[in-house]
Amino acid sequence: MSVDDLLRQAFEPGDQEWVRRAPAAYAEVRARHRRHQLVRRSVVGSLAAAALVVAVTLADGDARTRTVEPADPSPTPTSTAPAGATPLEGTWTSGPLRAADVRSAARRAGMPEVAATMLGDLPAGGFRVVMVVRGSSLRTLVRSVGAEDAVMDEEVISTTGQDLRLSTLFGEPGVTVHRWTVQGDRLTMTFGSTTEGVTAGVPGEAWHRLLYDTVSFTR
Amino acid sequence: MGRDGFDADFDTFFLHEFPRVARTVHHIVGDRARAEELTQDAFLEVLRHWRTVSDYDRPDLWLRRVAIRKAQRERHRGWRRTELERLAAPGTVVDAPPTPAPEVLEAVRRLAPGQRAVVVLFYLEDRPMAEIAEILGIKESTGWSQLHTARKHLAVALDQEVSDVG
Repeated sequence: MSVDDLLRQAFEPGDQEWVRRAPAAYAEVRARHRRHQLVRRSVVGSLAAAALVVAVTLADGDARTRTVEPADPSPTPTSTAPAGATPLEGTWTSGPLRAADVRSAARRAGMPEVAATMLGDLPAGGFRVVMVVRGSSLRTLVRSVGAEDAVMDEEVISTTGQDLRLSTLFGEPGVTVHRWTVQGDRLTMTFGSTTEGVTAGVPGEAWHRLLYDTVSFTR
Repeated sequence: MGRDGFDADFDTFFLHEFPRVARTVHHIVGDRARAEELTQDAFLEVLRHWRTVSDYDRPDLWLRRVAIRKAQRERHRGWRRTELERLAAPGTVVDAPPTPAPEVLEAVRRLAPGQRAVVVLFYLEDRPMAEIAEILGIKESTGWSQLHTARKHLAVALDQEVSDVG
């Protein structure tokens, strides 16, 4: 029997358990969606309430001769542009990374103990990071000798001045900010902050520091 | 479309697609509980963007792209370690998908992630390569190449001949 026949035979049987699970899974997805909407409305409601308080306070101040000192003016925001409008567009390949770099990234993220977990998810014997930027899309791959490129990350990106903002495309929502500079064909990034949580025991910060900040990238 | 119709469309979509996508993800991650979580996560993304996604020509392809990307992302951020440990200990898999040929599915699970996704979509879902390429965000030629390589690996693993497909 050919491989083709074997595969078709192996995949042939249906799995009725998934059909039986569908109503319960549907209820769970709907419940999670409701919770998400409640949280979002709560945040929006809080912001609206805060805005209302400010408006009332200001109106009140106008009516009775304002005595409150004006707040410091907000910093002038720089324009936010999709990454496609920046010199980031294209494919960037990092210098080589090794186990010592992984341990360093974990240490800089404040959790040196996660280095072993990270190393377990990375090719042994060194690798490079490849960033593919297409417009506002970032795809990050890990490249090692004798293996296929492995997708490590996919994010939506935007730039504000020298800040590069990466928003998770899949999985739990999170936003990470790196400072970035491009000089000629060299891209250098420096970790700023993240709201990404912990995945499988490893904080998002450790991955970001490792993948994007450890060494510079070239086109 | 009214709210009722909007919701009803999603309901129909969910009940039709959930068993199919969950089964596909199950073959990719090799764990039933995790496959269900990932599939639910993907549907949650779909529901959040349903107004947009429902206008797509093929929302089913978008759903699979999200689900498979989630599975692959997790593989490389922690899950792979667990899976490798499990693969290193044959016999501990208690929830393998039903099949008359478990050794074939075991060989599929040992393929590289990209090859495995192509094989599952091609043989399990019986999708044309153009759709597989769209789901995985790769060129059609890359999909054929991955399928060809996967079949060669499987032939060696299963001690079988490779015949032409496509």
